[in-house]
Amino acid sequence: MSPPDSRIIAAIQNPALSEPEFNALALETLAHQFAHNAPYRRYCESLGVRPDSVGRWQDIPAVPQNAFKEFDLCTFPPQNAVKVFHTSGTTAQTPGRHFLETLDLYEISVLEGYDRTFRSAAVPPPETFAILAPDPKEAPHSSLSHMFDVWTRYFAPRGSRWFWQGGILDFTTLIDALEMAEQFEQPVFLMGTAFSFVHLFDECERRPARFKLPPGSLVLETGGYKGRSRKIPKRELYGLFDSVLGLPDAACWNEYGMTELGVQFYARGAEGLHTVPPWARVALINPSTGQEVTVGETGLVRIYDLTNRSSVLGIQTEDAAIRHENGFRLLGRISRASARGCSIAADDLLSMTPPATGNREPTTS
Amino acid sequence: MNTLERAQLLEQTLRTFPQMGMITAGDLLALVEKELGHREALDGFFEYARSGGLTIRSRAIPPASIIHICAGTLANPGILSLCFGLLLGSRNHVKLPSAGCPELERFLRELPASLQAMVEAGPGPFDYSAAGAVIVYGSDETVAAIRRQVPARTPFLAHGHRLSYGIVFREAATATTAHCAAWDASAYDQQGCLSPHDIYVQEGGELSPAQFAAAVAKAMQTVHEGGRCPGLSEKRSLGESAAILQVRSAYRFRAANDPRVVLWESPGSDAWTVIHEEDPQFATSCLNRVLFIKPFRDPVEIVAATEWVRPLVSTVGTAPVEKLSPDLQRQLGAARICPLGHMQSPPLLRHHDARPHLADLVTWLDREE
Repeated sequence: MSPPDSRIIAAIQNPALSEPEFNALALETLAHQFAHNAPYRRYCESLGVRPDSVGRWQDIPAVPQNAFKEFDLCTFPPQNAVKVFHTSGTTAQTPGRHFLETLDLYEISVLEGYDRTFRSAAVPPPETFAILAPDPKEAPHSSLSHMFDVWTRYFAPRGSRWFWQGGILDFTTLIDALEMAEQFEQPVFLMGTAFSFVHLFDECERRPARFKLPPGSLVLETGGYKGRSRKIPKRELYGLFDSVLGLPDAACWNEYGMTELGVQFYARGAEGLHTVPPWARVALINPSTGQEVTVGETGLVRIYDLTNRSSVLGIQTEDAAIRHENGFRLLGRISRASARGCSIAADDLLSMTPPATGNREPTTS
Repeated sequence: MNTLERAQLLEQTLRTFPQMGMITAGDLLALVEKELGHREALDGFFEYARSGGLTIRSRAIPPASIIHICAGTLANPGILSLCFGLLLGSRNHVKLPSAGCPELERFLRELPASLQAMVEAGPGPFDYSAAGAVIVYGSDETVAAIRRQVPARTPFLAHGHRLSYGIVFREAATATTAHCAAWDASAYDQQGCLSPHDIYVQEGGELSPAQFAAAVAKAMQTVHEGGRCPGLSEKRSLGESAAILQVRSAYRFRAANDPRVVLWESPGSDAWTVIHEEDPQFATSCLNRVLFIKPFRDPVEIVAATEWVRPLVSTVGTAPVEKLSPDLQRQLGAARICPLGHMQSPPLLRHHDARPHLADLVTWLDREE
């Protein structure tokens, strides 16, 4: 029996959602997904888990993130999806696909996330957005573009512009827009992938160009580099926000989210912790024991998200983080080992891709 | 000190390193004879050949100095590399891995003083321009980074990334062979380039490939508990454990949805993992005793399935070994074929990564008399 989406929406909008309320909704969602998501049910059964055997959200089986690449993980016929988000990555890799039965839960989560993170601040966020990502027409399967699009509809009455066009960043128009913002002291909210900001900084160095964006301006960076630009450490990236755009550390935010989830986590400044909104839980797992780590320890990020009612509630990521009382400090993908010999492990072979084969299709039953 | 004396001193030290295969002075001299043509080739002139009425007398000259760059994951190749340098009579500079390598350090400590005087060990950096030869074990990135610093005329022996696998023909698909496979995949925690990532098992034998996989899983636990297999550790870094968890959870999900996929794991730990899947494509392991078992009917299927890793193939452990023809060996691109169960204990008198141990390092003085 699934909780009606209206109850989940009410939970997302309830800042005082209690632990028992979250737990109850999570268990109802498990029962729904067990009943209607066949690959997930078979996974639960293989682990000896049935909805009536679980009493705590922590014991709900989490699906490895990669399973979205091989299985249609949804509680409804995938052809009925109102939206399918695809993971990005190299072209040689099969994308993960997240099928949504309704956009309501996703969009409410996205809007609440923005509201809680940016609109609760003493200084309201700018109402002009500069988006360093393709718009949804150009990237219809990008959850990031969809999220920015939802935000622009609700929170950017003074206008938004998408500066990623035809697969490239439109530097001339973007730099013009930044000059205008500086000149007319019009705060701007820059948002986009980390690699698009690196492209912008490289272009600014080439010209050269530097800005002092007016107070109240913000920047939100997200996502990995995925080989799209040189990779730079977070602290260095935030240093460039300061030196090239004139944005202090407190005006710079990171968003940690993924195609397979409706919830996002935000951290302020280069050293900020990511916080968890009431409709989600993050458990950091010791990979050796499968148990949650204690405060101060490092574990792999496992996320439970009520927004994912029509797919799977719990997802085991490959990212590591340090547990804190009030959130987590994201470390990202961790390397397998510091010292290696002449043997070669799977990680080292990413540049060599095996030809695709056909027998990883799930069996039907 | 002549070659015989150096070989005898090396034997003394190697006695306390049984994992090296109990190498004797006689073995080392046999290697010199095999590769350089005479046991005393390094000590003086010997009759090398006769041609055109002349006798050619030759003497092998070792490099004055050798820099050995050793990998941190496995001590054996570094120990052996140093043994060869000492056997040749060269001065040896050993780069110790930054994370340490206790067995290599013990070997250095236990060398007799007269051999220790021929060795300098430390973290570096080294003056590659002054080296007589450079030997590198490590990742392709390490090899490439050092190669750039070594003058073009200096002998440079690189042992970069390699991987290995096994083939079990139907007549050998038994529990005994499964134990051999488990031994090879367990030794040194699968860190070496001789460690199998996959075992291909031919259908139609006493055990089906899936049954063979179950027997390997059982044997992995036996080997784990037995205490005789070298280099076993349960100490995993967070990254290593995360990689194992990732593989296990992905295959657990597949196994739940595909009866052709089966996963076995060490109970309550990430010591070992065995995965049976029908996908013939060569699967690279995350190492640390994670082994794939795959079925085949005709060996040509393996040729196709391993094509994408062919340049990296080191050893193919085979049961029975005589079943793998020289033609198939060529097609597989395997420099070394050996019986399954012996992958991790290569004989001294063999080629390493398709090259000799000593012959590439020496130069020759000839006298035509």
